[in-house]
Amino acid sequence: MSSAVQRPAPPGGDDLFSLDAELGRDLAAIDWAATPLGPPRRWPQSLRAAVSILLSSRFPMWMAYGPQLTFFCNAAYRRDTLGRKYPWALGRPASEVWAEIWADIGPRIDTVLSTGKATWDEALLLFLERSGYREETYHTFSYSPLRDDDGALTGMLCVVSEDTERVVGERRMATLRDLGSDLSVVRTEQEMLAFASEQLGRNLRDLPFTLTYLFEPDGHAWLAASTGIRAGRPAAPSILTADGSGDVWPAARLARQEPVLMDLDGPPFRELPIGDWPEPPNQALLVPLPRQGAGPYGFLVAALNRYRPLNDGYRGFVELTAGHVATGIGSARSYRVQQRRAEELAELDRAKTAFFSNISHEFRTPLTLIMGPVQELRDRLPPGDQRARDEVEVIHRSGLRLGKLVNTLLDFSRIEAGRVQARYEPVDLPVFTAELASVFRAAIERAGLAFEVDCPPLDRPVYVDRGMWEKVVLNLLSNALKFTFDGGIRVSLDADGDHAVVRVSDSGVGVPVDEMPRLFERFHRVPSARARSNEGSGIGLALVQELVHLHGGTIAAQSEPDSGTTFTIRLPYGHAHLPADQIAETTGSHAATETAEPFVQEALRWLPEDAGGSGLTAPDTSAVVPATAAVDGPRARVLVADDNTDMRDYLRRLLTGQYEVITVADGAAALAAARNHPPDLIVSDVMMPGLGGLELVTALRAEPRTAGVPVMLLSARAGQEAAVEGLSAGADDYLVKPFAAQEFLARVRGNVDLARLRNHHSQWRTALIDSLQEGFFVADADGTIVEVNSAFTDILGYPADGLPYPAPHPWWPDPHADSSAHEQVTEAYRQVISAPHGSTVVPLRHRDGHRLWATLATNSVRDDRGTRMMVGTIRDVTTERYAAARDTALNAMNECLASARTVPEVLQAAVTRLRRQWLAPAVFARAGAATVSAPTVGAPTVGAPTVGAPTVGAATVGAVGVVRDADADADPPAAMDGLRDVPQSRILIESGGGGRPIGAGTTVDSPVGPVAIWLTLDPARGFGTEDQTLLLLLCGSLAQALHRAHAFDQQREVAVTLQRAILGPVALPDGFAVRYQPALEVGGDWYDAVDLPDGRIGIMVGDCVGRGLSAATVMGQLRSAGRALLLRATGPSEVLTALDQFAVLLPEAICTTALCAILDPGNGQLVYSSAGHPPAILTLSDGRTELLAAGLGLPLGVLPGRPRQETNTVVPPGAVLLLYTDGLIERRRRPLEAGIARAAETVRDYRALPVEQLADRLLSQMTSSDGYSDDVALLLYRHPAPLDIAFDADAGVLAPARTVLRAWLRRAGVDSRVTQNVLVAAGEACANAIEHGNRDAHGRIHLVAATAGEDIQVTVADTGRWLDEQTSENRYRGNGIRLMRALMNHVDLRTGPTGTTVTMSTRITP
Amino acid sequence: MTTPLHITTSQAPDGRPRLTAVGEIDISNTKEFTAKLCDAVAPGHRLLVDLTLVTYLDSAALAALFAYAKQIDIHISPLNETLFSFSGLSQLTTIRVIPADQDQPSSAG
Repeated sequence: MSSAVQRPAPPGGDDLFSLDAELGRDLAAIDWAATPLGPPRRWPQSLRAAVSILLSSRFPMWMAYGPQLTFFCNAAYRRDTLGRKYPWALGRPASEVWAEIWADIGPRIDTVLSTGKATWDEALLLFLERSGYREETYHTFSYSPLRDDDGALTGMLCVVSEDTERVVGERRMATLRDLGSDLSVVRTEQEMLAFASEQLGRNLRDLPFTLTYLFEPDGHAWLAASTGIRAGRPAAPSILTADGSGDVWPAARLARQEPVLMDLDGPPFRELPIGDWPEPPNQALLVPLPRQGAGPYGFLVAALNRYRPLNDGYRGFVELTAGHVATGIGSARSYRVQQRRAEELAELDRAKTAFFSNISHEFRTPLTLIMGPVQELRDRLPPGDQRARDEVEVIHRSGLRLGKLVNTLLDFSRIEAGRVQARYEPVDLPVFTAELASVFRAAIERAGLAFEVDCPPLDRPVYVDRGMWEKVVLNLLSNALKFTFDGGIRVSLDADGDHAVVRVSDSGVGVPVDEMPRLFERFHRVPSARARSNEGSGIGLALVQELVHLHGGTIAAQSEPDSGTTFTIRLPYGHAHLPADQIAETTGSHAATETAEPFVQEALRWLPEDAGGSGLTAPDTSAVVPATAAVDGPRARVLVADDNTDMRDYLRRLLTGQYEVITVADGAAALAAARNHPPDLIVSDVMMPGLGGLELVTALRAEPRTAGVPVMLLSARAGQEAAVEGLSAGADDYLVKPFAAQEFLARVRGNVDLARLRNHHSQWRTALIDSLQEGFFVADADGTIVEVNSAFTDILGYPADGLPYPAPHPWWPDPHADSSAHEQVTEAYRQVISAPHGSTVVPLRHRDGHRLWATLATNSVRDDRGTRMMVGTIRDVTTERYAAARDTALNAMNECLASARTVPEVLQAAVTRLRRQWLAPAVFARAGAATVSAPTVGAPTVGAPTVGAPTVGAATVGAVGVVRDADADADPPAAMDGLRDVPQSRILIESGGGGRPIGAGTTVDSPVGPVAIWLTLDPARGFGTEDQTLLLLLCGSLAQALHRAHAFDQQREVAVTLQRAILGPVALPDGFAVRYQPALEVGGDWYDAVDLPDGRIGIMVGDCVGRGLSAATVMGQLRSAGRALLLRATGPSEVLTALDQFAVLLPEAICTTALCAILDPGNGQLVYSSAGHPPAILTLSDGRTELLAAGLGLPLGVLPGRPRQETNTVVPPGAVLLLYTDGLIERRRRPLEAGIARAAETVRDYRALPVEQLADRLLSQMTSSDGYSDDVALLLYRHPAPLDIAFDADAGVLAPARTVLRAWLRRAGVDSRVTQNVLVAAGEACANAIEHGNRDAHGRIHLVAATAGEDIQVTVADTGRWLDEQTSENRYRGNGIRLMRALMNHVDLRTGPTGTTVTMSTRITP
Repeated sequence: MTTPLHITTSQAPDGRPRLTAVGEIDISNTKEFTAKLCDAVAPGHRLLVDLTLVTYLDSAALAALFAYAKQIDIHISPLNETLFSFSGLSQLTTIRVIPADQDQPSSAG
């Protein structure tokens, strides 16, 4: 037998040092004789025992022994703590080895040596010089006394664990947590910086001082915040220049996103503040404050702790800090911008609404009262008084001009409100346009300009609204004249495919290039060096553009300064692009109306006096604008009703010279015309089909609006009786046919004059009522509307010629489609008409279908006949109503968003809310595809994420893709792609047939790049200015929420990173697998498995109360404390009892649940104790399950001081032990037992898998559809731990390898006969590897044995090529393979280029 | 390091020659075992190969026994019974399984 086998003999002489090969060599090399301890041979037994404990322990230890406290340590201590002092330190006096901390530890050693009592220090700060600099370190250690053979105190043994990483990590984590603690409240930039400074200023250890510089657009940087140092000190200048010359900090490099590490030497850095340390920092790390998609906001100067190395962890901490500050700045700035944008929009909207209603109200009424009397004055002035006549003309022209302005504004108001009453009719556009242009000819020529009109005929008509087209042409011509001083003006028209193209060109002053984009902007006046007039509202061209758009056309302008401007209008043929209900196939009046006069009058006034001549009216206009300005005043309107065409024409010819004549063919038409616009006189035949003359008179007298209209009846029936009949019916005159023309005209004149006198009052009443901006109506006692004004028609779309309107009125909401609104109006109207006066707000429906809200105010009156009537006003309060609705919608949106935490959640909440807001068929949100795919903060490297599978990570932040809310899985429409070109806070509207909106979208700025929002709309609903304003406001809220959520995502990511950093990396004892899976909001779950000095293994799994960073901090402390307690080798109950005390000091730790166990890996003995934790699950190799539910105590800190139970059990061979936190098993509305049973079932089903795979399987099987709602920590162990050995491919080592395998098989509970089979089979595999696998090379054999359920699996791998059965040359080894197959249940042989692996398995029990 | 193996020759109580092996036989000492076996086999006698105290042997050892199968009888411990039953050696010679508690009739002193 060789001597190596005899090792169990007590260590003697040099053998003492052979317990650790490397350290032993260095110990042996020391000249011990020169130390007070003398040569090792003569060392006392106590010293030998101490040294042997030291060297064989895997836990860091050192000791001091003898009179000089000679220093010893083991390999673990060397690795963790001693650093560069090795091997110098061995054998030296401890006071010399640890000279730099002797002041700290010397007294403790003295205490141990004088009292014999052990010391205990937790996380003590010690400045070690083991790496070439003074280093901040933290150690938890205990000094225990060592006695010599006589029992006298002669030294001490120190068990130590270094906590530096933990203490420093927790300190940094606390700072980051505090920085991120208040992100939900968006503050101003200044407040945010003050808050951040307060947090940074509390960690003067890692950040002795910091400076936050922010860049200005010109590149210079200013000091926005500082901690630990006063602003203005040489190292903290308040301004850094853009070029950086001579500056303390290199701002320019930071602006290029370069982090800079600077040594703090040189004049500006003398007398730096020292932070929390004895000496000032000597380095600073400068990192940019990153901004999404742009250069940095600024940069952070972080002075570095000179006592810690700048490693990845420290760098990561500084970058995360900068990331936090940058996020805060981004959030604050975004908030400011959103706030301002929303305020501006609301303000603009309010101002506009107020402006339009005010201007109408304030201007129209006085204008009516000015123009009426002026008109009369013009007619009555004696011809001789030229001066007075001139002055009245000035008043008249100004009135016209003002009226034109007001009307233009009202046009806008109507367009805005969608109340335009257009009538698109087929028009011969060249003729019509040329006619309009000719109105301006005189004025243009008088200005000395050439005027060319080139309008060749088109082959088809163009659908235009005559009134609108007039305004288009007149505005453009007026504009051209205003800015043209030489050359000429040209109007031309031609066809281009499906469009008619009209051009108005001038050779005027032109428009500067930079003004072109704003040319059509409302209220924007292009500043011009030269114009004929400084007057102008800046709305003419804007109106032109709106009107052209209403026609489905486009308008463009081309201009060159000093050479002229051309406006090009393109109108499509046909009427498919126009609203169907506004198409008229008939052609109405062919003459330009009175619209033209104000334009020409205004233009003439720009011209010099001499050029203008004496023309007080525009000579040319009289030709096309009939009679308005006729010398004998406004002509009376006479309505002629006769069914005989010849008679009608005759009467018209008689009357036309003096009167404005309207002819109709029957009584009903006459009644409608009179209702619409009561004439000064009605001449009617008595005998007519349908409604005859007498009935007409009766009907007219029955209505207040027409009761006063004089009627002259014509009849073929002579005689007194007929005349009496007619007059008694209410006619004013009666004329028998045939009659003399002179007599007829005399009677007409007499009646008209009489009527004018009589009706003067009522006409003024009508004029005033019509000039009211508020809708006016009169209703009878039944609620039938019998009179309305034009504003009423504007508001509701129902004209006076439809009167009377009996209740229920046609503008009430549809009783079927909108029954509740219908009932509301019915009831409100009933109350209003029965009360003496009242006011109510009701929803109504405009004739074109759009919904509006109106205030009805009524007063009950008696008319001159004593009948009870009701007069009322109606005011459109839709705008106010919408403003209130907007506030409600904004609140609702904010409420929805408040509860969403992550970016995807926010987007989902937003689309859901938007869909409800607009009752839209579908709403989509799309985060920019390739904008951001990863978090922006520097990847933290505090600890490699070796723990678990990162299934829920921050990867969800970017690349969200499409979020939708729709009935079906609708895809976003193609129009949504168009949003890419739309700037923020603009809205893109997609129109369908008839110009109705079928979709609308906008983009929202967010930290993950622009987010496109798209609403698919119900075309019937419309999407007006109000909707657009609201959408922008809601998107503003969304942008804020996205910033908030992004910050939350980042904070969570930090928490996960830190949690992982605390939990790992760990060297797990063999046979264990662990997982940690964070939930959305990180909790405080942890696990730990640690090799104890006595060879056993301490295990702990726990779960803190609470979530987020604070729970993670508590968890870190509990885990450290638990580990330290386990290492003191006390039992589980003592560990938990001590943690009870610990929890009292750390209130957040109270109620933590934990399961603590100590396992003997040799025999499977397990002792455990539970502090209110769910039971561990033990799954036996045959699939039976046991819950380790004994030893249950209260959660930590609930009743400190109360003793805890512990329970002994055995983990039999092949069994799997599962410890977990409740996140694994807890499901809503399911009992915990069900979850435990499910976990047990999963382990049972997969118990044959290796523990790592089993852990993955368990996590994936137990997860619910939406992931884990709570953290999951789990720990798996299979007994025994797999055997894993490697040895040289040499025949000589087969016997020891067999010994090891045999011992392991015994631990695994394998029957002796099976053991023999396994040994032989494995032996054959090894022999093959030795004989054939490695003939040339010096190979290694790797042998692994593990239990798998009821099986045992052995793998032998080598680095060579094997014989297989077919090519067997050697009979013996061929036999070997046959033997393996015979002895084992399953043999798998794989040979590859790198070697051969044989895997064999058999049942544990035969 | 060589696998521990002691081989002695003696005479069985029935007078025939006996080769007793104690320890383990693997490829590190098969040559030694084969050589001793070869020496011990003598014409005219069936050699008793007593392997009851062999706690491990592999296919190389079996191969040696095959070579002399017709001239030997073999005693083994129950531990190795499976191995021998699979080897096919029993078709060529007699193999006796000697339970561990049964007294070895002629163990070496």
